[in-house]
Formats: sequence, structure tokens, C-alpha cells
Amino acid sequence: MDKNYITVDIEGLNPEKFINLAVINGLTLWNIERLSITNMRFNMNEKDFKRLRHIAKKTNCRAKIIRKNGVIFLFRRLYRRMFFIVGIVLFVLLIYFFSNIIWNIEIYGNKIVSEELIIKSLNKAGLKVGTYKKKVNLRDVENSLLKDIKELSMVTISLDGTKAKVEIVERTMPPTIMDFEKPTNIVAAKDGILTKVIALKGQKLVKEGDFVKKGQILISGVIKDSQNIPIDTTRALGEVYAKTWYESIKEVPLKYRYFERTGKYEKFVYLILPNNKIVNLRSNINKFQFYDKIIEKEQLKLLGIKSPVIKATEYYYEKIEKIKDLSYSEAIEIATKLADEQLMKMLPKDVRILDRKYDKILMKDKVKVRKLILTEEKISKEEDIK
Amino acid sequence: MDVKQRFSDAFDIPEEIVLDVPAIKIVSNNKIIIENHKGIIEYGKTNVRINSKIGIVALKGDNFVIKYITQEEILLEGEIELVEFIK
Repeated sequence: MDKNYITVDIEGLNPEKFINLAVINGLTLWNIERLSITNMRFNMNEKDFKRLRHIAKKTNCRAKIIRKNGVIFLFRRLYRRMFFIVGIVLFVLLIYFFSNIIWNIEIYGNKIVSEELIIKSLNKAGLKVGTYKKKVNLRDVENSLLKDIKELSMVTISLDGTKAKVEIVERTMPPTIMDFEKPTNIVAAKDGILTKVIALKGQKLVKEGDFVKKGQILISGVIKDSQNIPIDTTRALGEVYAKTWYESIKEVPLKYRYFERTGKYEKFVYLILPNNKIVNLRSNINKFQFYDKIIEKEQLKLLGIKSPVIKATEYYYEKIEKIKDLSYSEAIEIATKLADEQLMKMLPKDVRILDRKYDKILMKDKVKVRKLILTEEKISKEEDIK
Repeated sequence: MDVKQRFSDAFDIPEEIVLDVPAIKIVSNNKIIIENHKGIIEYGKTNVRINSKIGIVALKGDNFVIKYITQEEILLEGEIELVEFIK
């Protein structure tokens, strides 16, 4: 008997009659079991079930499929869920396909050579994000990378899943040789009072305690004799330190005018095309009298790829002018704050602060604050002699 | 003896084919094959009665299961205790 069969339950007053009728009609039944007086269970071929209906009507029985056995039913069910199966297959295929693509490149061990340069060189050699793993010959890429970038002494590329690890050992390059023949002067980069002059080579023209102006030659590369006749030119070497100062004077009237944002703002968005043309998405007419304007520019990205179009957003924050009567102490506080802010912007990073001075002048309708910072810093700067 | 029986005797053709009488084969006490049946009259775990041309074949026993049934034959399995022919 067939491997693909169904198990059927019948219920009726005379199930024997049902079976006789079925047999006479040429059906084959097997494993008939009596469950109770009214119930019987048997197996039969699935395709004969249609004929069973008709018999059941005649004998006043009810037939019900209990179980479907066999592979064909499984296939039939799967066929009905075909797109589900197609989806699973597609999913597996896609996973396999995408796992064979290099998705990111990581570079280890570079100190001097920039990552961009290495990536550019890798791309030239054929290792890119998105290339098929099997297409890349790693040894070839390593060799061409070594040829391309001279600073590298060893490159090892290994694939770890979808990641390409590029390990780099840099060559220690010989130091750049200073050209001592090139004639240069050392000049002052700033005004100041000299505190320390160290001349290694060249003719010293200033001494400690001198006041120098910006651009003044401190150590000359032109060596002259006592009669001021140039004998030789050289590259001047040396370091010069000087006392410098940073000053900020702020005046604040007692009737203090200031601006305050009202909280209202307007936003305009427009696009800047590569040829600097501006495409307005909305008309932008600013109607505020006083305002702060902030422009944010952002390169538009399409699917993670930078496009040449720049999206600019202009924000206009409305301000209103306010006048406040200040007491002297309040005015001084504001002026000091303003002066401090200005000084912070002016002060370079590598200076030594020697002294601070702070003067307050009270006048009839305003205050004046003067802040002075005395510093010591290196002011020497090389300059070519023409 | 009627004509059909004589005919089968003369040509040596099995009686059950010519006469349509049941042919019953019992294997051990747990398997019984009945050919040329005329349908089931009663079927239960302990009692089975099958119609045939010569009357009812009644079986007594336990755990009867019809292994298969077609127009020609029935295969029954179970512990057979008694086979009886009822006219």
C-alpha cells in the first residue's frame, strides 16, 4: 500500500455498512480498528477520499481525516508556503554572498603614515570595501602596498570574517638633514623685552634686556667683520625668549545695553550645488531687526555615500536690546568677564605667565577695566635671507 | 452436484473462482485470510462476522484488526479462538 496515506475516522450507527459500501466501490482500506460501537478508524489512499464523501452521505456516517502521513503532504504544505521557502533560501544565499564581501578595513600599527594614504593605496591595489574576498590576492596587495608607500617595511593583511586587518610595521626613516648652507636670519615674531638669547650660529645682534619689535633681526646669518663688511653667510641657529604682554581694556557704561534672545527663531534650509549655485527650498526673508545668525553646513549623504551637494541650514535667533542700570560693582564684574574672555582668546598655549595686572577705573557714567598678563615665550623665528 | 462444480472438476479450476465460494486460509492462530467475501456484517474486537455465499463466517477471539480489506479479500489479525459457519 501507498506510503502516502490518510487516517480517517468514521462515525455512524452502522460503520460496517459504510466499509462494505466502500469496498464494493473498489477502495482499499487497511488497519481498520474499532474504537467504539459507532466509531471506526482506518487508513486509505488520499486520492480516494472524495469518493468516501458520497458513501458517507448514503450510510449516514461522518468521515473525518485525523492524520495525513507521508512526504507528499509535507511537500504540498510547503508548496502552499512557497514564498516562505523562497525567502529562506534567498536569506541563506544572501548571507553567504554578503559574508564573502569585505565590509571594513582596519589598519593597525601606523604612526606616521596616515590611514587615508594607506586606504588609498589599498584601493589602488584592489582591496576595497565591497570587493569579493576571493577576487583579492592578499600577497599581491601586500607587495604593491610596500612598493607604493616607502615608509612601510612590512605589511600583513589577514581576513577575519568580513573584516580585512592590515597590520603595518613602519620603517624608521633617517632624520631629515638640515641644510646649514642655506642663509637664514632669526627674527622676532613679536614685540617684547628679551630675557634669554641663545645663539648657536650666526652673529648675535641683540642682548638680554633689549626691547625688540616684531620682525627685527635677532641673530643674523650674515657675518660681518668689525668694519661692517660682510664676510660670510650662514644659517643662523638659536633660541630667543622674551617677556611679552597681552592686554585687554574693556569699558562698560552704567547704562548697560545688551541683547537678549527672545527664544523666537526662524530656520531656512537651502542646498548648495557643486557649482556654488543655491537652491532655496523656501523663500528666506528674515524679518527680525536684531538677530544672531548661525549657519550649519552639512554634506548630504545618499545611502552612506557623500554627495557633492551641501545642505545648509540658517538659523536666525531674534534678539531684543535691553538697557539695564548697573551698580559700579556689577559693571566691573561684567567688564572683567569680557576682558578675561578676550585674553583667553589671545593667549597662545606654550607661554609661561609671569605676572598679572588688573586696574579698575571708575568714571562718572562708566567703568574701565584693564587686564594685563606678562608672559615669557619663545619669539625667535627663522626667515630666509633674500 | 451442479454444473459449475462439475465444470471446475473437469478443467481443474479452483472451486472458489467458479463457484464464488469463500476460500479461507488460516496462518497459525493469529492470521486469517478470507477470499470471495460478501462484506462485513459485524466487526468488533472480540467478534467478527463476515458474509459469504455459503452463509456467515463467524470468528471469535480477541484483538481483531482488519489489516486490509479489498473487494476480493480480507486479512484479519488477532487471537482466533473459533471459526464457525452459520447457514
